Amino acid sequence: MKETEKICIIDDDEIYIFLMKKSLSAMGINNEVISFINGSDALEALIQLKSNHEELPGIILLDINMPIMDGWEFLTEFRKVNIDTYKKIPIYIVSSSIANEDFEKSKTFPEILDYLSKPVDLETIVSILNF
Amino acid sequence: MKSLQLKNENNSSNNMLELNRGQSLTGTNNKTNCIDNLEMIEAAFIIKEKEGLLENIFNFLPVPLIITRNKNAEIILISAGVETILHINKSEIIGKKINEIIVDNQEYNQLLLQLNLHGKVQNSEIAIRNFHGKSILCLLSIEIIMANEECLHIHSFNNISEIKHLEDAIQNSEDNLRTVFENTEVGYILFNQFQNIVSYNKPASIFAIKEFNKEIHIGTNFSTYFPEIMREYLSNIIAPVLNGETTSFERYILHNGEHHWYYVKFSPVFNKDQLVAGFIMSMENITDRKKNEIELNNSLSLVTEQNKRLLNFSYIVSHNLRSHASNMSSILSFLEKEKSETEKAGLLIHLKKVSNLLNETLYNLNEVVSIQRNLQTTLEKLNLSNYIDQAIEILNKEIIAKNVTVHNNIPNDILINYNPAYLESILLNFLSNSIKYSSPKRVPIINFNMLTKKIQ
Repeated sequence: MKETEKICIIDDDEIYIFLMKKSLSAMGINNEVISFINGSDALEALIQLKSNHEELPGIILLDINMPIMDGWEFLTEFRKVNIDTYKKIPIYIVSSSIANEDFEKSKTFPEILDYLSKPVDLETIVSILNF
Repeated sequence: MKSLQLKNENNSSNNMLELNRGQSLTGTNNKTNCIDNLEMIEAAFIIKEKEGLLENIFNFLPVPLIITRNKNAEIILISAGVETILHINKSEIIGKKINEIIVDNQEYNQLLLQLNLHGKVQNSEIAIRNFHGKSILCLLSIEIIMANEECLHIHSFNNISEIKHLEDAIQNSEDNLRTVFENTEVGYILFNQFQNIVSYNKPASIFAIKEFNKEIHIGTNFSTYFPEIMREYLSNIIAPVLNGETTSFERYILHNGEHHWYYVKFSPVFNKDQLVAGFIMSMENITDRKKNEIELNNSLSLVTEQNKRLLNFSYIVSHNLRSHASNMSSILSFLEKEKSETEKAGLLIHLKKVSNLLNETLYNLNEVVSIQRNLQTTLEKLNLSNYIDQAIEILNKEIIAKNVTVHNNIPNDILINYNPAYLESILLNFLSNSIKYSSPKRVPIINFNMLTKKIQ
């Protein structure tokens, strides 16, 4: 992942977003972090980026259980609007859910590279950011 | 009517010629008479020899025969067969009355009447008594013979005690089988190879009324109980049975509004050549078993559903606790390393937030567990519309803040049997979640509607 690429976090847990930002900073990862507390806001922002021909994020860390638009709905809508036609964005599920049902469902979305259960340790974050 | 010349055991027949070879006849004076007399004597000897031969044959005859005099029923001659059947010697019975060996003389007298009317009696059942007093059932035939102008009766006995005994045993066995057949709870219909009813029991007729709406009758064809469109279906069932196979299935019948389940089985019946001679249709009422099975399945579904819900609940608990625990752990980790007091203060604010959220989560989980535990014990009739109004009232502030329109369309007379605290909690959750997760781009409208569903 390039240092210039944005990291997108979609999670309704604002403390988690704060801690992720702090962790990334502590590890010397200074990529810009854009965060959203539901899928709907994130989708809207991504569509906006695409239409403005701005660079899309280099990675999306997506929660499942969120108000207004949850992670699954986001993925469905994300696929519909073809945001990543010119750039494939790797998507990781980062959730506190350990339900097998969620884990199995994640396999039905080819856009998802992996399913990570919270708390995610820093080494895992570094490895998925591919620095 | 036959004519014979016979001597009795004591050679004392009144109407018999008493002659020995070489003995002269008295009262014969002339030659012609002498010649005539000699011829008569010769003839008498020939007759006497034949009589002796006949008597000997009679003595050894294994068929039980008794000859009596008509006038006094005295026994004058018996065959060897009589000695065998009565366990008696000839000397012990000759000269006695036949009535002495007949068990029911009234019955015998009626046979004599019949004899006088028709000249003979054929194969009439009668009991005789042997020397040991044991009763023996026989078929008796009586014929009249004339001997020297005396009327004699020849009694021919056919011992049918053994046959009768076997017949009785078979009859008893059949009666026992019939009793079992009639009293069993399983219905049976026996068919011949042409699918005609040969026999059936009471449970089978009850089944037929439920299944065919008509009574079954012996001799009728099975297909007549089925409507035309079902005949092919019936043939498909019967065909393998007529080929020697057993077939069975469960049958559901709705009769007079009642549900019945039957286990129906078709089994072939083979003759001694191992060819299918017919078949048995058995029908066992399994309604109670089936009801239990359905109840068990329902219970299983309920338990499965409860397990599923419990699992979901555990996921929710896990999810909620893990989020907070994970955040707490991260904050504490940063606090340990952080040098800046300002940053530490900021982290402590977050820690406090997480702590409060964790507390709230635990409280909510405790509420859910408590409600679940008391759900079955405190059921009341609750006015649904009133409870919705109360929830709207409680969340009035949020409703106004987000400009939400709420329509309570539940009729005022609708009562539901439920736990009050749980109903209140559900309705508050409905409303608060609807408001919380409403689209920010539209004005939220919440409608409370109802439908009635019949539980099977």
